[in-house]
Amino acid sequence: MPGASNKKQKRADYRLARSQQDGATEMPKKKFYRQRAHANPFSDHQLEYPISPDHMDWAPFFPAYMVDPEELPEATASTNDDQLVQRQPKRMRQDVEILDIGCGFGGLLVALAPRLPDKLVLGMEIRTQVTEFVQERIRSLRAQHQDSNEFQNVGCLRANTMKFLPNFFKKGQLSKIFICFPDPHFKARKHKARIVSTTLNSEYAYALRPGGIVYTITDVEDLHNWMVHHLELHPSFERVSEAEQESDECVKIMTTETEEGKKVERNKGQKFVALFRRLEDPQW
Amino acid sequence: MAPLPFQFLCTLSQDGILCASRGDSLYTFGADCAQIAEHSLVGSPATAPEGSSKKEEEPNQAPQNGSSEATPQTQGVEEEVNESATPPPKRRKKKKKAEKPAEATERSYVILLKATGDGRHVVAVTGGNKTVHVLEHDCKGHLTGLSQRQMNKRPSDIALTADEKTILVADKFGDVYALPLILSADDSLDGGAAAAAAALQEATLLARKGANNLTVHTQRNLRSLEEQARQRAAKAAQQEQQKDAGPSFKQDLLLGHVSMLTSIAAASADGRPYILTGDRDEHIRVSRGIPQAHVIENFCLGHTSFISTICLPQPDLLVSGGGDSELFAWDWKTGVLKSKVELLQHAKNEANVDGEKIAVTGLYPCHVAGGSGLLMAICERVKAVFVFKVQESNLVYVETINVAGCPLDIAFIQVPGQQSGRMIVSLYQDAEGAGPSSSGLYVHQLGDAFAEQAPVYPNPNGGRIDDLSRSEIEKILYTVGNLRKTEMSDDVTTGGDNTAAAGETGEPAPEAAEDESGAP
Repeated sequence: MPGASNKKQKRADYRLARSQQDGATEMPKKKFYRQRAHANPFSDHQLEYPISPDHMDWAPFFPAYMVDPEELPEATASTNDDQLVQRQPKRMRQDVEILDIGCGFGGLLVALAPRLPDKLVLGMEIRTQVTEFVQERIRSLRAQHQDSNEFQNVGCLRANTMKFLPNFFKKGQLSKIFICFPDPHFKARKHKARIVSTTLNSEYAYALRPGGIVYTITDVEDLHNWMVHHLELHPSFERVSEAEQESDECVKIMTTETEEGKKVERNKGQKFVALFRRLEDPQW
Repeated sequence: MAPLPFQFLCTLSQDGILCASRGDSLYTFGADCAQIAEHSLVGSPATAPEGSSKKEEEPNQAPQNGSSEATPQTQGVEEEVNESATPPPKRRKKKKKAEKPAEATERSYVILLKATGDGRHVVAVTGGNKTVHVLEHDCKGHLTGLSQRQMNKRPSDIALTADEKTILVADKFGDVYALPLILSADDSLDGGAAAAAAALQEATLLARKGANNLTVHTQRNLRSLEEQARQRAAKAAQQEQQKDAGPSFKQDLLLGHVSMLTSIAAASADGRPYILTGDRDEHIRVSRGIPQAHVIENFCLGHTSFISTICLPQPDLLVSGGGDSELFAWDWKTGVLKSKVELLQHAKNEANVDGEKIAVTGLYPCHVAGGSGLLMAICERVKAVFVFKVQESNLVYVETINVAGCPLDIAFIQVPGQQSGRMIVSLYQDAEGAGPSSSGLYVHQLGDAFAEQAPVYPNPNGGRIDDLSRSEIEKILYTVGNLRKTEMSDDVTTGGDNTAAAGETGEPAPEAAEDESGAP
């Protein structure tokens, strides 16, 4: 297919050009990063993920938040049982607290980061090309805002959260999880591939601290009903009241700033929002 | 061509009775090694019913096409299932695949075998028809079928809860279901009714599912939307008719991974139950037990290749093995890795293994006299049993026992009147020239030297033993190595819009196989 190889070449050229200009302030162009909107979450892909949260090296994603090795008191780095833990990556000043699952082209991330300057915001996306776009986007934004130091608290990486969420986050590490316009997987046979399911909700509950919020938004009413049904059914979650939902600033951002949200707006579609609070685990 | 060897073993009661599976039959042997009885799990031709697809439904939900017969005589599974549904039109392609003659691997051979601690019940799972069989043991070596329950997905491991009243079934789809060991009238009727009600509710929910004219915009999509609505109406009408198509059995979805589950174990600490699950993507999850199985306590993360088996030689010590070259010992309560114990080096030095990869297929903690505190490990296609010792809540390598064939399973038996028990290993002789006689049940006297005896257990030739080619047999026996992920070209290199599609075609063999094996 001559068209495809031509496209491939153009993309390679574009990337090469971008990588050569250091500290590029020009935003990346979406057309060089488009990718089919579906990925099979059950396939192995070729994913990079840490063995455990302790093995995760966040340095490439949040360079401004890394602890200098000199700052680290010697006592905390115990050398004895280090053989098991292997080589410890550099530590971060604070942990990632806000997660956008399936961040797409990063509209929400980029809108959230300046409004929550003291929190680390991470986007996870399964499509390589799209992840690359968001990373480039963040790089340009950081370059543009060098004086104000904005956008240092936002990052994006490629991951399959359905399988590897616990590899990245410790128990109760997150305070907000965003699930925006997920793949609806209409076919009943594909329902296990949906991002919200009874069994998967346990993993969100694991990564979220009690009181943490799961934000969901979709333009597909059936998927909305599905997500509400499954999250309400899960004993670890309760639905957040309408009033509280209205007053949450993140809801407004989520509704208007996501790329998909804008598209739905253009098509005059509906948007369905639902928020769920992580409850304390019952007595055991 | 060769007959199938004995594959799975379990110990029944303290009287030294052994139960072994071969193909679709169970054999029992007394303490004197003489055969007592044979029990076929497919009395009537219970092949996997084809084209009885119920896949349109949500996988989490109870299937309606199972059987809950409490008596083995009424084998209503097939008839019930076959009339349960004519597959909807869009599944035609799938059905065609299913009509291929069943391969040997698809036949209903035993793939899992477990006995309760008191030896009064045996749980066996047959692969092709994904059925969980519960049998009663009279403590003298005779088995009677109690129930057969057909699962939605092929079970990959089973465990019994501490009270031995519930079977935990882990499946290839990553879900764990709880089934009562003994079906009470309550479970089969009320449970069935509840499941049917849930199914109906789901169906009504489904009826409203799909895109609407606000989410699709092109003419073609709108047209197909209309078509879908028509089909849905037809299906709803059909389901209405089948509302009381037969009782279902009680099965509760406890928890689930998105990755394929390979192993499950029931544990307890401070008097509370826990469920440990190991998957193909290197996770071991520690969940609370019933009724709070939705709460994840922690994960044991450290494996770098698939996990195939986990066990608890002591209540607080978890040992796991799989595609890594070591065994891992965990404090499962906190998720802390205690130690890694080398296995590959021993396999290379003492069992003539060449190559850098090893796949652990079984871990067997020994609790009988003469071997108490030992843990045996076996690996796929490796002619050895590796002996470890549990010492101060940790694992230490002891020795390697070389055996005549590839070990498939291990059981320990306490023989009444004898000081030390015996270890029984089912061996498969894979070399063509060696003859089938070296496949069989080998006995090692536990104690100082693991003195080996010839296969004193008889190799019964009666019954229905399929003669299969070597490759077919090995396909049945060696399934664990296939769990290893294949090196795929990164989809960065393929680039562009094809990448996602490439990811899909690159699906690993086990999952693809699961998909093709069609409906229950």
